[in-house]
Order: sequence, then structure tokens, then C-alpha cells
Amino acid sequence: MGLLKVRPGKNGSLIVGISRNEAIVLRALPRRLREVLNRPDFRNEVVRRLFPPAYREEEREDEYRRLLGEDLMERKSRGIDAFEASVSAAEFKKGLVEITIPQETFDSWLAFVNDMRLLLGTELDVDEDFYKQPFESRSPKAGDEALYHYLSWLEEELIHAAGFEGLGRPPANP
Amino acid sequence: MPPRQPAQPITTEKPDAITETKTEIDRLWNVIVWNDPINLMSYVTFVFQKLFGYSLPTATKLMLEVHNDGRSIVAAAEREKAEYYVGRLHSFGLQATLEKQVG
Repeated sequence: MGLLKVRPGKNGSLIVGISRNEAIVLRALPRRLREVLNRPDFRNEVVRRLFPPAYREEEREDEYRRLLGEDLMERKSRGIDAFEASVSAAEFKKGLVEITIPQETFDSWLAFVNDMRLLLGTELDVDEDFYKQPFESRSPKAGDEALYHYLSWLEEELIHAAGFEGLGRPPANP
Repeated sequence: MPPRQPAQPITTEKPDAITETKTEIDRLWNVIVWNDPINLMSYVTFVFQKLFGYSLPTATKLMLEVHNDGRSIVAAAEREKAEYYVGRLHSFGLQATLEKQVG
């Protein structure tokens, strides 16, 4: 069980408190997404999921890629950088690793966490039935499955702590 | 070689071309978000609030349309602006497309 807790910090930042083991897992994430982005091969299902089509028509889609493809790639890289910078600068306090997310990089940070969920979810073939299936700890995919659920939890906590309540949750600051 | 055709008077084509171009520019494009099994409901609601400035009830309503109906038109704009929105939705990891408004 993780120790994950998210609380408000100074100047609109958020502080993620986690265990050492959780921090080790998070530190390894950027490399995995970078490997995909460094050589974006559209035959790869993960790449197609990270860069979905905007148009059905091939000609318009090509134009869209030409105009906005680079910007999209840059935004995804910025997410990796924002995440990596804050995880690298994490502090160890009272038995917890504390990661500060500055307000100005929150969106990029969250988008990175979601991109990792998209990467894992695509590789795990996540569909609507996936959530009904029991967790098989002996499955070769158990590690990625656990990570996928952990990142879902982290994402929910971040959205809640930032005051975007979502469905069925009380406001963070009533 | 085909027989030479008589030259077409330019005035018969020009007005049509102008009208067609104008209609093309004036027509709005729908920004559509599609359901997918990975993106969390709370995350999709967050993105709608962040990107379009929608209130929580509006963002939640659109998110539920995506979830229940498989897709939702979340904005309509001229093509360039609509493409910008789709690009931003893609940067947040949502599946979004553009569709020209009919009529």
C-alpha cells in the first residue's frame, strides 16, 4: 500500500508525499515515455494513442500534423521535463519523500502522468472490462497493471487537491 | 490530343468560386471528444474546465455525454481555432477530432 498524500504548498504549488519506494518507481517513468517519443513510429499503437488523428481525411490530417505536430511533441516533452525536474528536486522529510509541483507546471505535470497512463493502458489493452477483472499478482503484466492503477490514484488526488473536484467528490477547499 | 475547347468566359466561374470560398470560411467546425477506456472521468472534466473555461456543471455534463454517448461536441469555432482546440486536447491525451458543421 502506498503512502501517497497530496497537500497544498506555497504560492499555489502542490506537495506530493510518497514513500522512498514510490519515489524510485516515479523516477523511472520519464525514461519510458522518452523512449517512445524519441523515435515516434506510427506503426506503434502507443504512438498512435499519444498522437491521435484530428481528421478522417488523409490530406487534412497531413496538414494538421505538419502545422501542429511539432507543438504537440514539444508539449509532451515539456511534461516529461516538468515531472523529472520536480522528482529530481524531491526532499526527504519525516520519513516521506516530498515532491513539489509548482503551480505553473501543474498542467504539464498532470498531462505527463496521464500520458504514462495512456502508454501503460495501451500496452495492457485496457478496455471497459479491464476494471472488472481481479488483479492477478502472478501475471507477467502485474507490475505495469499495479503502476497503471497507482498513477490513476495519483492523478485523482492531484485533480482533487488542485480544486477540480470532478464527480462525486467534495470540494478541496469548501 | 483532344480538340481545342472554346475558352470559357471567366465571369461564369469567378462568382461561384468566390461564393464557395466564402462559405468554406464562414462554416464552423465542431470539436468532438471521443470516449476511451483509459482517461479518467475526473481528468476529462478537469481538461474541459481548464481548456474552455467551462464551469464544473458544464464540464461534467459534457464529460458524461462523452462517457454515455461515446462522443460529445465540446466546442465549435472557425477551422483554425478548432484545430488549436483539438491540438490542446491531444496534448492532454484526449481523443478529439474536427468535423465541419452541416448546413
